[in-house]
Amino acid sequence: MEGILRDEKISEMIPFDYSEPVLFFPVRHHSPTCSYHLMNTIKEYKPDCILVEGPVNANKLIGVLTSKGTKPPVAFYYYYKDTAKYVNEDAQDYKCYYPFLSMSPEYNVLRYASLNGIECSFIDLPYGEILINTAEGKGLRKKQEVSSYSDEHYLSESKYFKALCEKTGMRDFEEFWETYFETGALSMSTKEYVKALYTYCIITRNNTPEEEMKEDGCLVRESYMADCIRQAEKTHSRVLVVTGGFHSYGLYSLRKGLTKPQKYRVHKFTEKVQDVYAMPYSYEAADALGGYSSGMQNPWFYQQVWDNIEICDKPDADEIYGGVLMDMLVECAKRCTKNKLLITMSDITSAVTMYEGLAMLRGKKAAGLYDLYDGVQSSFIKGELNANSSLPLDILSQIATGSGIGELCDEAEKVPIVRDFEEKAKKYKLKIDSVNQEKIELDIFSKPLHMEISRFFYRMYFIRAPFAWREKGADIINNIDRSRIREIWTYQRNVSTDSSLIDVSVNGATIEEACCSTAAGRLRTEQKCSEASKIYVESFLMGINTTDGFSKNMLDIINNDGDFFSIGKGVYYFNTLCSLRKLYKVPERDEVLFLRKCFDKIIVMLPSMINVNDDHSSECIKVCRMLYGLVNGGVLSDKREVLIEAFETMTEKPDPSPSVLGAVVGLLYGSDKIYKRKIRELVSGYLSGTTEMKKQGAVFIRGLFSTARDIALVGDEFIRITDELIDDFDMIDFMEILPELRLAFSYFTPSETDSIAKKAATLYNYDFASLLCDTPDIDPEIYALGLELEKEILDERGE
Amino acid sequence: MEQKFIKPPVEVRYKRELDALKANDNGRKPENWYLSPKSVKDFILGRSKPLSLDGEYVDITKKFFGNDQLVERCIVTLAGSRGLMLVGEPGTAKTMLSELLSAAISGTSTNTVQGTAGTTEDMIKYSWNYALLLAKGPVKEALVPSPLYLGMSKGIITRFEEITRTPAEIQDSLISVMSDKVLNIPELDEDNLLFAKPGFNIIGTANIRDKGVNEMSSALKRRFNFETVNPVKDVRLEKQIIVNEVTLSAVADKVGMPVDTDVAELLAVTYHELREGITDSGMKVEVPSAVMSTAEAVSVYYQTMSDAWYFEKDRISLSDLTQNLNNAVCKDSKDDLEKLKGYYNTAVKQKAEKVGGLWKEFYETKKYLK
Repeated sequence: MEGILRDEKISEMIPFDYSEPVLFFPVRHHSPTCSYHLMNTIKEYKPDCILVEGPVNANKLIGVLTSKGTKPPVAFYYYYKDTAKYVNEDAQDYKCYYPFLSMSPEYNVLRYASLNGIECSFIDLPYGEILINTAEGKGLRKKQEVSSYSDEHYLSESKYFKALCEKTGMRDFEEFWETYFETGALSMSTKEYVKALYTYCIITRNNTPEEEMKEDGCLVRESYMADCIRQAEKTHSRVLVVTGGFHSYGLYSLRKGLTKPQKYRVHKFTEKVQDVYAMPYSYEAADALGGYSSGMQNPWFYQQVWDNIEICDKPDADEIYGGVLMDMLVECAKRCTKNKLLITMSDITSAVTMYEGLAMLRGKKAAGLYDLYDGVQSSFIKGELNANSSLPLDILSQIATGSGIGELCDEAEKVPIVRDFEEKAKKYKLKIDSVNQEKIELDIFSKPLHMEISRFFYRMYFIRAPFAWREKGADIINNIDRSRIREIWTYQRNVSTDSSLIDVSVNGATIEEACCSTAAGRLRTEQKCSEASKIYVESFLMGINTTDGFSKNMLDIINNDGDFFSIGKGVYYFNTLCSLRKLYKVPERDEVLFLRKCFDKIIVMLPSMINVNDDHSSECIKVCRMLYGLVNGGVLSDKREVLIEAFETMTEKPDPSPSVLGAVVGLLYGSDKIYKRKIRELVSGYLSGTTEMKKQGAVFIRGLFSTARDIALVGDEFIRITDELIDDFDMIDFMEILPELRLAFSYFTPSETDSIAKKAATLYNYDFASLLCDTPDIDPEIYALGLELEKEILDERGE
Repeated sequence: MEQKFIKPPVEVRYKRELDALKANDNGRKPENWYLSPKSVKDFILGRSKPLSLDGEYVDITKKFFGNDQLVERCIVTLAGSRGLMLVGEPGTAKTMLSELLSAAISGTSTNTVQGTAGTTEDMIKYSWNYALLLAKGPVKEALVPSPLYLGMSKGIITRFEEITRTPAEIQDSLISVMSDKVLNIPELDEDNLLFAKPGFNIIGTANIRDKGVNEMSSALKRRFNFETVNPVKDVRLEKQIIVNEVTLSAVADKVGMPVDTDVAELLAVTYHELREGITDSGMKVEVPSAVMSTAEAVSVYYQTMSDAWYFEKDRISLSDLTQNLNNAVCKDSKDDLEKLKGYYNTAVKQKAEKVGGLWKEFYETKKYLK
């Protein structure tokens, strides 16, 4: 180690003596060399009790973890629901993972203890207590995508490490660790290794302010761990304590009374509030956690290293790493070639020369993963390194990460909802053991099994368990592609699928139960008709009956909701349910009752919507059109007169929104042509008004054409009116209203536009055909330029 | 040391350092290498401890900034059978790196072919002294060796600058040399094969702005390891490079003015932000189409400093700096002037208001942007 980590005085601050009643062994999560030296220590020290850093409430899972049938990667999944607001006033739910790979020192030591009948247990505070003792935004309460129990940020982010990096020329902590504590430490004696690790960890600790350790909950955890060690000492004569290297000195000094312990309290939480489960984990997820300073990254690579160490009596870094690097390199070359990037034997040889030469130049005991990356970059990438040429590095990264998923033993108590998920997946023949995304096409109306699968996917989606995504098919909620009769889904089981299922496990033992109780819970607290009615549609798609017993709630929600658009959504959703019930073979429930209730409510609100502002006018017109469509048949046909009356009231109101007014009179015109007179009066009013009112006339016409475009096609009266309107504007005002007019005419089909143009041409005694012929040809160059510009704009926008 | 060159070659400029490294070099050396790979690395990346030479201590300074691992890969590549191709934006110190590598590995950095559109195969391999050729016929005496020929015969590095400016068919004449390490001279009756001596290799440089002009054939690409030299991402390093390079040029030209590190920092920040399109406060700025390399920044600073020195100004003038920056950036495109003005009106203005001092003075010189 070139003296970098050799400071006798520091390393001797914690004695590493096999005659001690308590022996502290420092580890880094997922380090194969740590595992190797730890196993040597066990054989030498022969402990009668092994204590491992980890929340004590996972002690019940040690048997599952160390069982023969359990195949890492697996993880403990901890959750804590802060309903009693011990953490803060937000009463949030918390979760974190504690992954174990087969090279993890903690896994190996627990497995050894279990096989040899040595008492072992975890010694850290339960997860909830750690959170309660941690400051906002610190330690396990850091805001990050995934949270890991095993946080090593002290080791990788300290000032000391940064200075070491500069001195040793290492690019990051991972390279530093690999060089000094993996490849460089395999041939060391265990005592030497532990001393070096102690030195690094103690100096790092000395460079960490006490306040920071306090805020992170580190000091209180160490106090609890120290108490556990004291308890174990009372009944055992040789206690081996395996913890993250950073804690070793903290625990040692507490045990020796050199520092004052922190006070703590352990609450009694029920399993609903705080619990832990074992779950299969993936290499990918373990690698991602490594990115949050939690264990080594590139787990598959170090897994291969560990597999080779395990079968050697005296492991030699050069031999072990050399073999693994070569396997990875060849695999990388093969995959590059499969991806149409030809890699020759000469490239492979050159890469080997490169990583071996670099290791020598960098003064390493053996080449490691970082040297391999350098070798591949130099020898496999022909040309400038950029996002387009980095394929070999991407492939190597995938290989080093690994793609497998672990397994839990049969006797492991599976969370009931996860078991239900697996049973359902098996029943539907879904491939959930694969790490690849799978695609399935469902013929939901002709195959009952496909309908069941579709409902299963919707259920998973509803409880927010990331598993299946609909790529194609009718989107009933957003009213898109309603005519599609097939659905195409992609699905993939990953770590988040299981963790999300475990999250909702308190809501039910099966997915169906969880959906029902989640929906019921939401309905119980929902106040908006739009959201509540959406839950009914989601339940319908999931094929579950969540609505029983909630009729009164729903009616109350409709009664109490004063938002016109929210009730409008309710009308849409309940009408959708009424119309699709037969097709989906779902029995009739309360949707007709709710639809009528929503309709009655919206009719009362409708007249006041005539004064809606411009931002909401289009949405309001949509609702008006929908209501008009509903009363022309179906369960609301008896409400036609009421609606017409409401529309008439709207036309009488002062200060109307011109577009809504236009749309409403258009709908009235559709119900009876006698309203044409009314329309004429209104248009004349706009025409004879001030310039501003004339401008509103254009907006009125847009609203009118949106619901009654045939008015422009019958006779030429409305063409004349529109012409008069346009004629009265000067150029500046015309340019201002032009967008409105364009929108107004966008409701017509091309043949209808032609027909209107003919009428307009006749007004000015023009021959329509000659108008078309007189249109100057577009210069092909300008046209080509236009196309090119359009393409560039689309490219720029990534479309 | 008395300099007799406008720009002394690297081996002259850093002679003491090379000598000190050579005198203290105990590392394993590939055959014919002047220094061991470890010492080559120390020469380019510097060492924390000085070395003794003739009873004196010699500091080994860091000469290439930004990516230490790249330098290590370059050294290992050159110890192997493949050539080294340095690619990157103009002004990213590719040439300087190739000079440093050549000087440390072969003791000379001057064995160079300059690639241009007019480079011919003769210039790469060998040509003839036509008087001797007519007098004595095709004999070795009449052969004029090219840098490649010299590299092969002496076992030293041949540098091929701007290789992609050379027509593709001319570039391909390197293929057999790089594969078989032999050059065929069919004109000679005897000794018509030149076998490369150990220590021979080629360092090519290629500018990615020339990409597509004379694309290298895949056959030739296979014979090189590629390294992409990126602009320095760290403003502090960029400032350090400006200070170091300007100091060296000033010594060489006997410009007796010290480098103003604050102005160097201001220029480094300006170049960095214009290159990256974003300021330190997150403000987005338009990137000029001109090359915004550190080498350009050094040139702008040195020009401004020379102006102050020769016209006997008491300090470096920011209005001269702005004018030189204007001339350096606004070369090819009129839009670049607007972009530069935009940078002054937004980013420099903001810094002038927040930081004041030199930035305020710099902002007031925007009237010189024309």
